[in-house]
Amino acid sequence: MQAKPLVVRDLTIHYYTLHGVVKAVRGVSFAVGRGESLCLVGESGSGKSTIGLAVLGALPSNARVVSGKILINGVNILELSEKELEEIRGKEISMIFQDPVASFNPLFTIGQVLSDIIKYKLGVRDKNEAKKLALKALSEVGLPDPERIYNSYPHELSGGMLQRAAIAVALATRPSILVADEPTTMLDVTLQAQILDLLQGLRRKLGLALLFITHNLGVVAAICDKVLVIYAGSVVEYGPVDEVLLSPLHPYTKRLIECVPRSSVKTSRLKYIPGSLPDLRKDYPGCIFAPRCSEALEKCSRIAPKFVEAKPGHFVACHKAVKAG
Amino acid sequence: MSQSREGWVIKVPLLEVHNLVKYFPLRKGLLGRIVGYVKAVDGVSFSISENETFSLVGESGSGKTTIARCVLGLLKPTSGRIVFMGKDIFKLSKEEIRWYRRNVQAVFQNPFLSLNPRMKVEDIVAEPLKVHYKDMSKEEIRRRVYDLLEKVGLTADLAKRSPYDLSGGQAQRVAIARAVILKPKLIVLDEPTSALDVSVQAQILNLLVDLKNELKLSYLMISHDLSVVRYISDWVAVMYLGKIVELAPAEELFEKPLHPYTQALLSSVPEPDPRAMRAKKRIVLRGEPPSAVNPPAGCRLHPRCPYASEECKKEEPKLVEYERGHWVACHLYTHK
Repeated sequence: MQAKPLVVRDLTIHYYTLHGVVKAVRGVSFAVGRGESLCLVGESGSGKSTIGLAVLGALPSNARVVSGKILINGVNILELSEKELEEIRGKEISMIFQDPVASFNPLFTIGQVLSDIIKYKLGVRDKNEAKKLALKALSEVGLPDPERIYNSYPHELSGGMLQRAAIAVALATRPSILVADEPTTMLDVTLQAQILDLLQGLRRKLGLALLFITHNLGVVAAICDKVLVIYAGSVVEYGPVDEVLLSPLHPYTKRLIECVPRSSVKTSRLKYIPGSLPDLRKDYPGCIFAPRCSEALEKCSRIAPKFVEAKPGHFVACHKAVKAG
Repeated sequence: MSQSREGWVIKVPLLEVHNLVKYFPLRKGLLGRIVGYVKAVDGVSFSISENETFSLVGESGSGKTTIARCVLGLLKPTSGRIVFMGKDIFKLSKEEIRWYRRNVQAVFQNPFLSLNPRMKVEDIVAEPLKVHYKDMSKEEIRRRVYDLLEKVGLTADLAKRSPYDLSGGQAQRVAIARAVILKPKLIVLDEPTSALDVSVQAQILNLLVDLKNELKLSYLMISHDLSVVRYISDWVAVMYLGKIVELAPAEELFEKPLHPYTQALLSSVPEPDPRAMRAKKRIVLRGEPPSAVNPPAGCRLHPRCPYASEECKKEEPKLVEYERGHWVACHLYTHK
């Protein structure tokens, strides 16, 4: 069996700030296979974006990977030099972000950006050949009139079109992994639906391993096969999307789903999670969600729950859920 | 249109918007020649009754925020009237303007931008009282501020802090407290929970519902999030390129959407239920909304609408009452 394109093992990341060491990611493990999409879902401060950046070897300078491994097609990128990383970035792994306007340099046309990448990453020296590949990349993401888009500056395109262009840039070099950090959060719902459809189609067509980062559980249901729920830097639940969203095991996942108002049914009163995120500078001997958990047992704040397979393929880190199952 | 129903109760409209038009001139060149207009709002009418939540939904560029700014008196409309408790808000005397501002307040999307970082929470909430009730005693102001902070779910120890020391949810509670301290009749809510996490959003929405019931408030809610709108609204108007395309009681609109645009919007909302998502029949609109500088002739949706006919390209459909209280602007319903 071929190894999965992206494997993350026991990743721990700390930020060094003026106010102390923030333990943002606390031993996270997951893997994404070819043609598979995994969602990292969590609220602000869960560490989901930090994980996304770490996977590209693009953490800010005050962040440090304290322990763990990130294997991209079998190579641990944490052991690579910046120059070796350059080789992998773009070619084997690409990323798209929330704000497509900020992903582009306003002084270059979409065509210039695309041709540069094709020239340097794929080594295509011939100008006409590079342009042909660039136009192909633009039409692949469903942009009408690729020739016009090729010659456009970012400000001439709308948000939806620019996000498509960003996807074209990310996939022009045929990476095996795409990291998408909230790529539809700034788009209107009808455009969001279009972009999700596009990513879904490209994932199948190109056999991409898609790591999708979002806070929106609706988007999770629309695009993912597997879901990883993170709270305060720790994985609380992992499993197939139907399992996690329809029969969640962890109290945090359950409460989070209950918070979401729906357009398809009338909700009489919304539930919420009392309390707020714990101080991430501290260590917690027990379950990090215990202080806010309505189902907490006596031992929850003392002993950290193990991450175990409660049902086939469905993992959870919770004393209560495991005991009940 | 006021919602007169059979029976004894006829609700008095608190706010009426009549045929509101707002064009922004597009200028070019050294002399600032006007070369065209962005038709942000192009003939919109609706009314809000007492203790009612009226929501304007639509995507970016639909004109919903422009309407909110006109209602707040921050923008002067190109034409049309906004009438509050029987008075045209653009023909008020100085004294009446103060009265209007006491009665109409606002809560915006980002509390960190709408709250002054150099002021303490208690001073932010007290300021409207100091401005509008100059002879109120310090003790009375203090009492009212602390009572209200408690009511919106903030502990007294937060009162001495700067908004920057608060979380997003706490800061939005401060903004809400500032908006209700004068006991207004109407609050304009412009995407009040868009910047918040879902668990916090739920708390803020619940707070808004509680305050509305307790203080008999009316809300004009501006939002692009249909799930939030369903939870909080009594009436919903769906906007597209500066026009209302459908207007109905909230339950009616979500259960029986008539306009193809409303149907497309509703079918695009992702929900945290993968099975329902797969079963959902999606109505896909082609392309993206066109520019409001040169909106398409006829029905503005026709280049993107799956049901567009020849008629839709030529004639603009009027907003008509298709069923009691349910208004729609679409040729599919004009020949019934």
